Parts: sequence; structure tokens; C-alpha cells
Amino acid sequence: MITVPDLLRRVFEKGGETYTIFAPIRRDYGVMIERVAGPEDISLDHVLTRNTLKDVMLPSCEPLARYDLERGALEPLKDDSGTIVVVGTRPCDAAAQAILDKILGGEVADERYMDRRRRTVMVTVGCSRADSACFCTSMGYGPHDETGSDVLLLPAEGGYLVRAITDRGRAFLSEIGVPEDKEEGVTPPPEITRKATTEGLKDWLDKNFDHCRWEEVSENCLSCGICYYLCPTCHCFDIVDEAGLTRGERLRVWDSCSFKGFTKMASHQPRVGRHARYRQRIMHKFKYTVDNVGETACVGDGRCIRFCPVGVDITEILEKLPSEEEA
Amino acid sequence: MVDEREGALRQKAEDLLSQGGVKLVIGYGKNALGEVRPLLARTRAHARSLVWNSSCVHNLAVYLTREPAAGILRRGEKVAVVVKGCDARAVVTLIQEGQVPRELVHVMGVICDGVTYPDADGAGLAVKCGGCQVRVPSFYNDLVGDPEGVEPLPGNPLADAEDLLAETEDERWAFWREQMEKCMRCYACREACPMCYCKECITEKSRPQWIDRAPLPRGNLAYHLVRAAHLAGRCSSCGECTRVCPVGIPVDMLNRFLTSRIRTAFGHECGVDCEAEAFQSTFNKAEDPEDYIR
Amino acid sequence: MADFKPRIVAFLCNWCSYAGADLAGTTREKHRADVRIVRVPCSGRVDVTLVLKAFERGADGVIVGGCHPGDCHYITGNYTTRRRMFVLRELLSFIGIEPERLQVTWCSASEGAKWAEVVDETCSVIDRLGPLNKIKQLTENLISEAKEITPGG
Repeated sequence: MITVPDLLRRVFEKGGETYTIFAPIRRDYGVMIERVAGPEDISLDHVLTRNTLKDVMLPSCEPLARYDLERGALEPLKDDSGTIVVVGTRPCDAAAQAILDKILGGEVADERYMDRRRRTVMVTVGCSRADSACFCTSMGYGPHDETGSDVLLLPAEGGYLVRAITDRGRAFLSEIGVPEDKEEGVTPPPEITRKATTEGLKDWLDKNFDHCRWEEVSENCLSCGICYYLCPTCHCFDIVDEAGLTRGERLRVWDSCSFKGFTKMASHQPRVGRHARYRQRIMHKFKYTVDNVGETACVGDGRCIRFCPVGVDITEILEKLPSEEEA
Repeated sequence: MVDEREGALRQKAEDLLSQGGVKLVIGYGKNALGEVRPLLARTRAHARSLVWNSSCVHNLAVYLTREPAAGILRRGEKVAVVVKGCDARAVVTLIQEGQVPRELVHVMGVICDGVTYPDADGAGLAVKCGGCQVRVPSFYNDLVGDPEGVEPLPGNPLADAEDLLAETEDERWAFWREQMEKCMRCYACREACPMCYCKECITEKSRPQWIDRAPLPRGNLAYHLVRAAHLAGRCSSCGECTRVCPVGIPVDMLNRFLTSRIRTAFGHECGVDCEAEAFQSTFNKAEDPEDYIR
Repeated sequence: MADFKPRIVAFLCNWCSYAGADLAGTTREKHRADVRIVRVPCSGRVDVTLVLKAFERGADGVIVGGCHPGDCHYITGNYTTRRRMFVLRELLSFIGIEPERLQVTWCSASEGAKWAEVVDETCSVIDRLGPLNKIKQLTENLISEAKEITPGG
């Protein structure tokens, strides 16, 4: 049994100089998972951090290479963050990493992402509370789920019970001198009240690319991009050059299929309209990723619902799409 | 207790849809959890689900330049929109700028008591409501609510900008620099803004690339400053840009500051008169300030 | 700050201020050499984006030059410039950048001497204000074209 701040202290004692450590910190607009310099500031009185582990694994702006025409030099930039320790992520976010591993790993792997993943120890803190936007159980996960975690801390009376989930987790616990707890006594997980149904969805998506229902369900959507940027499984990116006349940097930055320019080509724009962009979101998560790697790219964290400024609710839409009702 | 304005709105919307030749009423509705969100009502049944309460924060004018409303207007048919005083200014500016035909928009102005944001935890009215002079919208076809005895809301709409102006230049820079480091260029502020209706935003232009794409402070600053400058004299002070920002940047502070400077220096008030000229494309030969010019 | 050489970009309208600058040259008016000129058809073409891009990419000061009100070759362009540059200076001041870094001038084709004065005065304003390190510091970790931070700014 341990408290999270104590565990974090042990992590700092062992590897404060060598590890790159991430933990949730309270900012004035919400709790964010960020790189921390010490164990003091961690905040755990939240349901979910506003940002996702993408900020760690697939940063919103990552330098890839640098060039200088005057010196004739092109210098690839490496990520030398060493061992990355994430303490305090939630089970849904850890599960999202497992999904991204399948999408960005595989035969043609995103080497930078996979390299970081191989160096990461994920210490997940199981949830004691949920809010009305969470729907992890409907996507096959849950507040105490172990998918994607190396170590899982489960809430119990007076602290957390430490469970090693993977070999890497076991090794890490022994490195920092925190014993595994084999005993029972886990506080029951919070109830997840929001439900999403995916019954009949895949079949419907396979056959109804042109259905008029897409316009109905996405009427409120402003294509603002928040749900894509805050989604733990959305991973699209663009490569841009920040350059002057003779020197510059090549960067990978987040992109979103909600932006009009995402599919715009010299010849034409093949995806016209907000409904088409919203359709892409649903198709990518609930059909294309399923077809390609056998996973649904949604973990039910609910950020898209929490932060949508105009009340677009994916759980409502997943139910409406394949339903028999008339428009 | 249901506000009587809600009943009046529903009735009016039903009438407009059934007899008024209006094809779409853009108003506020509720989801299954009772949370308020925009509702695009096409049928009388939809109209009966319209709501009005202090959570009606959205500026619905933003839907006028987007499908389906834009398509309806293009076909020469009518659209109705529910507005608060701040939102009404946006509708007027859209009309002034020729984006929306005056005769095809039916404006349902609601007398507003100020709005609260859903996750504000009892923090009271939204910052943008402080000092509101337009509780009774200045522009409407129908007015919902009783204007008798309606007083402006207390507060100073420029309190945060004034605090910042009282600091030194370097302190102001440090504040904005911190904000620019947070920005992740999700563009929610732009998409939520009724006045950002350009088919291709200058930010997206890549030949040449005027504004950097990467979410780094330098490009972020360019994006926010250019957006604020492009909104000068056009911003309705609806505060949506700040509400939607996922990282808590007070985007609308820039706009409110400029709005007040423009009011003082040019006597220009945004969104009051459909026949008035747009601020940026007109000028007053004799009176526009030029003492800063060599 | 003896080592500081200001980098100033001037957007000059083709019909008046650019011709005025040209006249300064042909009549051998002496002035400092720290201003780089970009010719535009009309000062009304100068969007805030151009000015901000100049500051962003290393300019310590920007001059926008146009025809005197009433003399614009395109009749009304400079009237819109007048409004737009006012707004931009207010915005710069609000975010903590000295508005004097943006100088706007009405300079006609016959005012070569005036152009020389404008150049010298602007250079001395920027000498006093120093390099615009605030913007350069935003990209400390990037190497693209932002010059090294000059001490004293």
C-alpha cells in the first residue's frame, strides 16, 4: 500500500537525475499531465487530465531535423529523453497508448513514437471517481482496467494497492524499492453512468458512407478541432518547416481531419462540408482502425464530450447512426 | 421553474416554422442530461424543445454562415436565430458585411440576465457579462421578455484589460508570452467566432506562409495578433473564443481592449446599425486620428 | 549598445513614399543605412500580417510609408492604412511591445529630405529602444533566421 506522492518521491529518489518524469499538475484552467521537476506539485483530485499522454508520446511540436544551407549541414535531431516515467495517468489514457502502439507500430512503424514507448514506464492510477462524460466501460475498458499499464495503482482504504502488470513494471518497482501488493481490498470502481452502444455500428458504417444521417448528427459541429487535439487516440500529424532564408527546422506538428485544409489538394477538395469531416472522425475510429489493426480507436475517456463547445455527443451519435428511426 | 421567456420562444418558433416561411430556427436546446447546447429546429416538435436559461451561452450567429443555414439563405429562404444582446451585434455585423441578407434573417432577441458557464462552480456570471449594456438586444424582429425596468448589469467589462494596462510593458509581455506558450493551435477560437467566416483563413495560406503552422510561441503570437487585428471594430464581445479555449487563454481580452480603444478614438460601436459602414473598410477623412503619423 | 545596428524594414507605397526615398538617393540626402525598403503598390496594401511578419523575423522596427491623405494614387487606400496602423500600434502596446517600433509616415514623391529625416529619426528611436529581443526570445530554441539575442535589449 502506498500513496501516489510517496511513490513519486521514490521515483525521484532513484531517478530524479536520469528519468524524464511526467505527472498531473494543477494549472489555473485544469489539471494537465506535464514534465515535473519534483514530487511536490502532483495533483490527484481530478477525474482526468485535460491533456492526454500524446503530449508525452506524440508531442504537438517535435523537431525532427535542422538544416543550414550555408554550412551545407542537415542534422537529424534525436529525442534523448532517456527513461520516461509517467506517474498518475488514468486507465483510459494508458489503454489509448496500447491502441496507438498498434496503429503507429507494426510493419511500418513510427520509429520516434515506438522508441519513446519502449523507454516508457506507465504507472497508472485507477479511478476513484468518474464524471458524466466517462464511458470507458462501453468501449471495453474500465476505471481499474490494466490495458497499457506497466504498474497499476488501485484505490484502497488509506492509499493505493500496487500491482505490477508487465515485466517492465515489475522490474521498475524493484528498482525504486516499492513492493507489489498481492492482497485484496480494492475499493469498488466508480459507476460509469454514461453508456455507448456499438451494436450494429460497424455493419452500418461499412454500408452507409453516403447516408443523409451524417448531416443530421453533425449539425452542431463547428469543426473546431478540440475533440481531435484532446482525444488520446487521434494521431494525425503534419510536417512543417520553420525556416528562414538559409536555416531552418523540420517539425512534426499535430493536424486534424476537422481542418478544411487537411484533405485539400491542388486539384480540388474531396471532403466538402463539416458533416464529411465529422464522418471521417467516426469512420476512422470505428471502422478503418478496426479494419486495419483490429482495434476501435476510442477508449471512452469522454474528453470530446466534456470539451465540445456545442454539445456534440459521440455516444448519442453512435446510437443514432445505425438506428432504425426516421430522420 | 421554467422561465416564461422559454414558453414565448417556443411559441414564436412554432409560429415561424408553420406560417412564417422560416425553414430553420437556430436556438438553444438540451441534451439528455439537461445541458444546454445549440438546436437547429426545423419542425414544430423541435421548436417545442427550445429552451431559455442562464446556460444559453453560445453565440448562435456562428451558424448563419455555415450549412445548413447558409444553404437555406442562398436559396432565398428564411432562417430565424435566437440571440442575446451580444449575439445580436454579430448578426448586425454579418448583415453590414453582406454575409447574410437582412430580409432573410428573422432575429428573435431575448432579454438576457447574464449567462453562467457550466463548469464555473458558482463563480457567478461570465466575465464577458460584466457591465453589459445590451441586456435588451438593440436589434431584433421579435423581442422575447419584458424590457420594462431592465438595467445594465453591474461590473466593468474591461477590468482584466485595465489590470494588465496598469502593469509595466515587460509584465504585460510576460503575461502574453505565457499565454502563447500554452496555445496549441486547435483554432477553436476561430471556428467559434461568427466573424471568422473567411473561406480560407490567412493562417492556412502556405504560398507564402504568413503565419507559422507549428504551435510554437512565435507563430501563436502572430496568429492571435492577426486575428485580433482582423476583428478590430467587428468583434461582438460575445466571449465565445475564451469560453472554448481548452487551455484557458483569455483570447477575448485582446478583442475587448481593441473594441474600447476603437470606441474612444473613432466613435465606432460594433453591431448596432445594419446600415452603418464596416469599420475597417471605411474611414472618416477629417477625424480619424493621425497624430501618431510623422 | 555601440554594437547594435538596428534592422528596420520599410513598406513604402510605389507612388509617393518610395519615389520620395528614391529622390533622397538621387539628391544625395545623407541618412543612415539601416532601413531596408519593400515596395508595395499602396500603403493600404500593408496588412498587419506583413508588419508582424517583419517583427517576427528579426526587424527591430518597421516603417510604413504612404501618400498624404487626399493624394493616394488609388484615392482612398491611405485612409484605411491610417485606421489599420492605429489599431496595430494599440495592439502592440497592449501586449507589451513598444508601439514606437512601428512608425507610419506620409511622405510624398517630392519629399526626399523628409524621407532622410524619417530614416534618421526612426533609427535613433530604435537605437534607444534597442533590439526587439522579446520576439527573438520566443524562438530561442529554433535556428531559423532569428538573429542572436543582442545584449542590452
